[in-house]
Amino acid sequence: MSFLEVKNLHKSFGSTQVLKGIDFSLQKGDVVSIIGSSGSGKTTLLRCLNFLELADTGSVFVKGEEIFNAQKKYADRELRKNRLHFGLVFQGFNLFPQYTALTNVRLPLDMQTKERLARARKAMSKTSADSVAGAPAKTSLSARFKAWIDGKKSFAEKKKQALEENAVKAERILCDVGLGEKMNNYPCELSGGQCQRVAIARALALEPEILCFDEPTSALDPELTGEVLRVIRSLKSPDRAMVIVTHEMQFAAEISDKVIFMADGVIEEAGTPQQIFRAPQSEKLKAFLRNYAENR
Amino acid sequence: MQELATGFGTTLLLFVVTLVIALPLGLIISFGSMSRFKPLKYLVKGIIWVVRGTPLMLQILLVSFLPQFVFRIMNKDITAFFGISMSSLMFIFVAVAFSINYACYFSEIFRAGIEAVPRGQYEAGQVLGMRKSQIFFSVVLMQVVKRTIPPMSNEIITLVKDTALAQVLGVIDLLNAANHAVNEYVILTPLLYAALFYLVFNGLLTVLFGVVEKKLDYYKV
Repeated sequence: MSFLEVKNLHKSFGSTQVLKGIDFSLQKGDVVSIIGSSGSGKTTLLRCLNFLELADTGSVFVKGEEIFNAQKKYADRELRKNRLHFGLVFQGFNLFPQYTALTNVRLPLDMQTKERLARARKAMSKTSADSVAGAPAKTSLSARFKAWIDGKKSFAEKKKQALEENAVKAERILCDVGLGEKMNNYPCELSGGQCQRVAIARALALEPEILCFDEPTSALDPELTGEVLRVIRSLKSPDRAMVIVTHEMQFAAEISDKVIFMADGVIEEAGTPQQIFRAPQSEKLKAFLRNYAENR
Repeated sequence: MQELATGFGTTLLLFVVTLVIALPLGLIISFGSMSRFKPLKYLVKGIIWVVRGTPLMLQILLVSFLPQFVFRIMNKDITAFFGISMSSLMFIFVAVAFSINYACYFSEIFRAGIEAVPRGQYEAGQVLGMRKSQIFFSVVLMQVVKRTIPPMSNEIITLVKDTALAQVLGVIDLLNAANHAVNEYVILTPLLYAALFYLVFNGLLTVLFGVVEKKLDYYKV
């Protein structure tokens, strides 16, 4: 069973067909690079995986479970839940400017914590209400009030603890990407490379099974791409898969287990980095690589 | 001087009431004008067009006549029912007209602010598993606030001076009080005092907005 399986994805914007049937799969621990000229549909493919665009046809499976099928209608909540199998790092970082690096990483975690606790509390107050109803009718009002206050207190404590754990986790991840010193800086005080590393930390904090990168170094000054690529390299792990859309062929060749070359909305050629870069088969890939070699 | 102070109190009250109602109402209207549900969008846009396209003074008069002409309820019945004075009722009419009028202006400022937030911010929130409301309140709103402070300060300073229109319903605001004093004592100084009041008040507001803007300087949008 594949870790991620994408079947027959099609996507059109108006009359322009951007994806014309994409099929691929990857295993746990895999790093897949997607290369191809601009307009070939690479970014759209990633956006379909993250449900920022909904594919017109096709389906997506994670660990054998269908998390998206274009035939079905999904409620916003379901999409939100299924989307969390994936993380996405944007080309333009999209950090939240009004928050520090640390808060950027914490915010989504804290929101999930609060939501989870609110749900748990609702469930509990319901069961306790049931038990009160079942108990002898004369539970005194003050006793009930006391129980209510106690419940509130214990939840406040739990929440505080959970939020502290989030902070610790966020700090650890920021240290991992080499930003331990910059935790309390705002995005406008950071360099592009640092911003992108915060964005990577933010995506990592939610522990996605498949981490996607949409041209993570294209918006950076050339001298800053190194630090970001280094971080991405360090993320290769048997526990997660990564899908990287990139223009850095050197990097793709060196990090990937598999390279996908896209052209005109289809996967023109796929294989190991060796096969793709050393022995390209299709004319389009040969032309693309030639063009790339000439322009650098 | 006593009358001027009372008049200023009325002006201040109208100012505060209008802001408290018009700011949230303006945000709601801005959502309406950006709605993807076309009928709602065009209805709201139509209302904004009418409210911004007609004089505020006309709107005040219109609001004050609505109960009598449309609902056939006499003003004295309303005052009797709620146990308020006629001058309070007039003040309420003025406040209603002001709130609606300013909410429409504010809504356009909010719309500009909201539409200026890059798509990427929403998308980042989405892929991080946030709900739409979480994205709006935790991500977008503070960026909107920062962007809209300069045009808001413009509009709010205009509001201070527009309060003088309350006198079309006989509300004794600052300018009306000053005018009475001029006529009664045949001296010009009350008008100058009134001018001073407006100036100082707006000066304070300007300083306040400057401070807020400075406070939000720590991030760029």
